[in-house]
Amino acid sequence: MDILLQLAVESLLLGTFYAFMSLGFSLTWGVLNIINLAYGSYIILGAYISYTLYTYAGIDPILSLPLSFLIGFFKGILVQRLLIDRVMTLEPFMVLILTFGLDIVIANALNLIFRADIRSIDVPYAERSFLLGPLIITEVKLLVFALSLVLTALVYILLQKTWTGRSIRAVALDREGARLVGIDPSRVFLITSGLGTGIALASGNLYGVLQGFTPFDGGMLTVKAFLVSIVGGLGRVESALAGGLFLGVLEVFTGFYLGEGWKFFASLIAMFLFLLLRPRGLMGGKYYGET
Amino acid sequence: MLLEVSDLNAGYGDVQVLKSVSVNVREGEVVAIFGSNGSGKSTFLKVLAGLLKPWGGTIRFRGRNVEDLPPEERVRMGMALAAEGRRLFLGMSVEENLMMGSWTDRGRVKENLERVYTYFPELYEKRKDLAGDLSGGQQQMLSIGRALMSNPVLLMIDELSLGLAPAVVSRLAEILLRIREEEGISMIVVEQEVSLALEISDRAYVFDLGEVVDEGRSEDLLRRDSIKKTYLSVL
Repeated sequence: MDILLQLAVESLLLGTFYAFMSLGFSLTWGVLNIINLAYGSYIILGAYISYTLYTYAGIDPILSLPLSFLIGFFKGILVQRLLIDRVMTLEPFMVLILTFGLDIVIANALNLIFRADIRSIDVPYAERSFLLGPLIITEVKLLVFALSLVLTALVYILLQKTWTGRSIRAVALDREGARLVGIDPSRVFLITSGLGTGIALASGNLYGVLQGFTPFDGGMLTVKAFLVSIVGGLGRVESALAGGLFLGVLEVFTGFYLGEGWKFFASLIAMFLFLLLRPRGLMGGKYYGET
Repeated sequence: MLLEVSDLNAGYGDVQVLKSVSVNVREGEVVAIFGSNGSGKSTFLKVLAGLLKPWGGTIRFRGRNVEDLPPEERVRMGMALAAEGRRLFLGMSVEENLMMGSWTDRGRVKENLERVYTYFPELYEKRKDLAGDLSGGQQQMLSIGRALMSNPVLLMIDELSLGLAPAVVSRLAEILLRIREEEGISMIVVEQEVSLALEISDRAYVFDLGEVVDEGRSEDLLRRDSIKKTYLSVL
């Protein structure tokens, strides 16, 4: 029983991180209707940025998280304007090829700079844990959980309560309707790309303190973000939370009962089953705010 | 003259829909456009709103050529379209939909809301509901209400009565007349129901196969035999 409780708590901690990590992927998918295959490598890029800052300047990854977000934000805007805008209106396949290429470029650039060794950000609190009744809580996991929760809530508030957020949802719900009220969708695309990429890089800071990484882990993370997005249903913050928790449970329980090596395999099977049986997700909704 | 459209040609792909259409609207005037299915009425409004680029011709609005301006610029200048299919944000609340209508006039969103709610009290009652949960009539009110939220000088309404019960339609017509009286907004109303179109308008244009085939003061058109025969099924 204690074991089950422990696993449930681990799932919650990890799942909330996955929810935040996938939010940018789900957002760009829901609003721009594009699947960004380079998303995972953006996360890894964030991890390397915080790794560099920590190793060479002693800046804690949590402190450099806003910086990663900003770098991601401008990178997202740049990539959107220079590349994705040019192919977005063509076949959907073009965006897939483009972002797949981006993924390769980023991974290999990181490989050139950092080599393929596994890197980790060994913050002093990485190994600390405490007892809570029958539970063992690892401090760093709790910290990542809390930050993920707060940041996810911030994104939620941004989308629900600000004009920028409303314009993002409006474009996701009805592009032509948005133009009718005077919103310029291409501006919204830029902001959304910036926000999505910013989230990816920021979540990289958190990912880096959770576990080791190599330049080529992006593909796996893209698959995870994809799974989170389709499980919950596209777009909404609530959906990402549902999907994230699902992935958390799946990984923690498979990892414990079948072994670490099965975790990614289980995600792939789950993705396959969801696409086959429930392509609109557990919650049935699509896009931000649609019912 | 508030709006001067001359010699407008437009279409989709290779298919020409509008053929040399010229339409004028004066300040404070309500102009109806009617005609059978596929006569180009909705296409005409789309071109006016900037959702579809014309092949040729000019659109002058408040003395400025707008045919090359994007939709958002035209909304800023005072054009607002309650579009075909309504294009509401179904997953947002009624109030959020209205608020989005004030995107170009964000500073005055409160006053605009109050104004629209006085015309459509039923929207106030449903303000927390999702737009997708409204009835057809309420959605049409929301669509018109959202267009009003930008404080337009020219309100364009596509298919006012389509799919709505007669009682709802006459209530909508009443509200439109009230809006016009109180705010002096000019309107273009596209409407298949010819008697309704002529009742609420000062002047009307008859579209057929993408051309303006007739125009005149609404009361004159109402009495014209050809109109009666073709559109009012009175023999």
